Amino acid sequence: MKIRNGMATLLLVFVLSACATYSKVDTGQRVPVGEGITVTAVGGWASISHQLISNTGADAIWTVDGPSINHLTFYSAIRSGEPMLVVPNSDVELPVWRTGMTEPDVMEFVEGSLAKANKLPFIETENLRPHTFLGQPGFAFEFNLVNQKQLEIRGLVIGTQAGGVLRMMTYTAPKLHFFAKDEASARAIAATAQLTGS
Amino acid sequence: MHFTRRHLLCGCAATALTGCVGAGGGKPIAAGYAPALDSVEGGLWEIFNKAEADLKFSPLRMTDEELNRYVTDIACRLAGSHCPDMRGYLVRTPFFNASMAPNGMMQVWSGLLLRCQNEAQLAAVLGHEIGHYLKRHSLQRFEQMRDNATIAAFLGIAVAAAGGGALANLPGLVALANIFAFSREQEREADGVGLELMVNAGYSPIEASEIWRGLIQERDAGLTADERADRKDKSDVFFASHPAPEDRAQTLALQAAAYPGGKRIVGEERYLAQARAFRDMMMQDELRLHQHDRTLVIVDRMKAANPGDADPFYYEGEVYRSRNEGLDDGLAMRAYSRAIEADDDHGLAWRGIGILHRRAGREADAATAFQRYLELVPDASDRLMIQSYVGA
Repeated sequence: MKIRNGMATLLLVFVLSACATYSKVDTGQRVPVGEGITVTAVGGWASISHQLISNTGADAIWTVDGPSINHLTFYSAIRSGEPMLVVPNSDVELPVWRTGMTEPDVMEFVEGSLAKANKLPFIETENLRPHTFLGQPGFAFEFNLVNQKQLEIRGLVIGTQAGGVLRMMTYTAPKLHFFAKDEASARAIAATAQLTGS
Repeated sequence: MHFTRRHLLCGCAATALTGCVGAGGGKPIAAGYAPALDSVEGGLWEIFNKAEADLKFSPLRMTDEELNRYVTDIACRLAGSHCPDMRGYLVRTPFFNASMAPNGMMQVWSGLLLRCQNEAQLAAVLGHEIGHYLKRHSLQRFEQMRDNATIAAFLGIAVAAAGGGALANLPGLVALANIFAFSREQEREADGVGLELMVNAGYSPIEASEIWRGLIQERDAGLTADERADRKDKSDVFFASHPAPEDRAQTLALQAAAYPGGKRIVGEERYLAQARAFRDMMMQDELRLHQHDRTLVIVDRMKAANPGDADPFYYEGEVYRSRNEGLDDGLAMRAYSRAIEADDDHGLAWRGIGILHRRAGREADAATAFQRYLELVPDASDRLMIQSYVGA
């Protein structure tokens, strides 16, 4: 089982923005983004060093303008009984994913994880729909949230559940201007996602 | 008092920002009072005036005119001649809190509205906050400060707050609350003032105690006796900055008993009628927090107050389906079924039933329930996914 002793991504990115080290991901370059998944970069993304994200619950985080602005986050293998995020040094119990969940359950799992880990005043999900990811039947949906600084954030979640594992990619950016700016790039990257060996 | 667009903060503690050494903290504030602009107190008020201006544009503002008018009317009945000096803001945040800033900016969070069971309980909370304002407790607290480090920390937070919007930062609010938590005496005094304002406005004073009893129930829900004895609720915005609710509930009950009896306003029906339009929004926000045991306490109260209403059973089903442990699927199915018994057209209950069937691999039953859901909620946000389940 993968160790997920980290901080909720949305919280962490603000800390990371001051001290993160980045590696440019060249367009067209196929790179691993966690356990058994590769994607091809499209657009001007940079990957945040693995050392700095080792405690986020994510397997890879990419950004264009800095992680406090926008980020692509990859969760390559959430297994039954595991949370998506973990808040360190806290007794907050986060939702866990379970085998057999329906896609509406997964949407609510993501929604609840973000809400609880980040003590969000507001989050709503929308447009849950079938979506192929990693060549498998999956799902996609959007979310809108207001964070503790009262900034309106929009997110896109694309994922699939198969083989006892939940795999997801999230794209998150401020609703005003930034989300639309790199949305097409994020979707294009999701479309290139492949399971290793497939 | 008016509940219109202004700013967001945890002013219950932040009222200390009115602090001005020797300026009369603890002395009752006069109606129409405003500090001189060139005074320390005036400067501190200005910080909150700017913060209040930011609140105008908060995406969390609840701007429904009827609801704002309703809460404003209650606050004005309590505040009397001070009503024009205060401004109220309803804020969509699913935690229990209300607050008053030194400049008269009052916030009421939606998590509080969800938990009040009647108008008198809301009046109790508003009266308490108005009590802090009337007694200028924050100023008194500041005058009592002798610790330079504490004052420096306070000024740092105040300066950060002036930077724009930072008062909405919940961790910042908790920090502020911890630094400027009112003394027990001040909290009790505010409770006493609030109780007096309630009684003068015709409300039943015992309801002030009841709201704290409700909070105790929620806080202790799902805990063993040992866990209750060892509970730590620092993560809760409200409990982090206020005295133990047990003390408060007991003292308020004793004080309420000292007032003469007679017919007094509880206002359950009219409160629930006002809150009804926002109940689903507030419950969905509550459900997203995945604090299942606490939410069940709210649901139980709702069931008791609304016999025959399908929604509380639907919410109960949502809690158990979300918790998804042990016998929860069965409990969820039973709750959804009771919602359907009360209202066969409850689309969201049919959705819940469909999800439970699908989880269990009962595809035909799931399809039947989902089809009913789509008939009843044709513009459902998850329509495409649900349609994929039923092969439509």
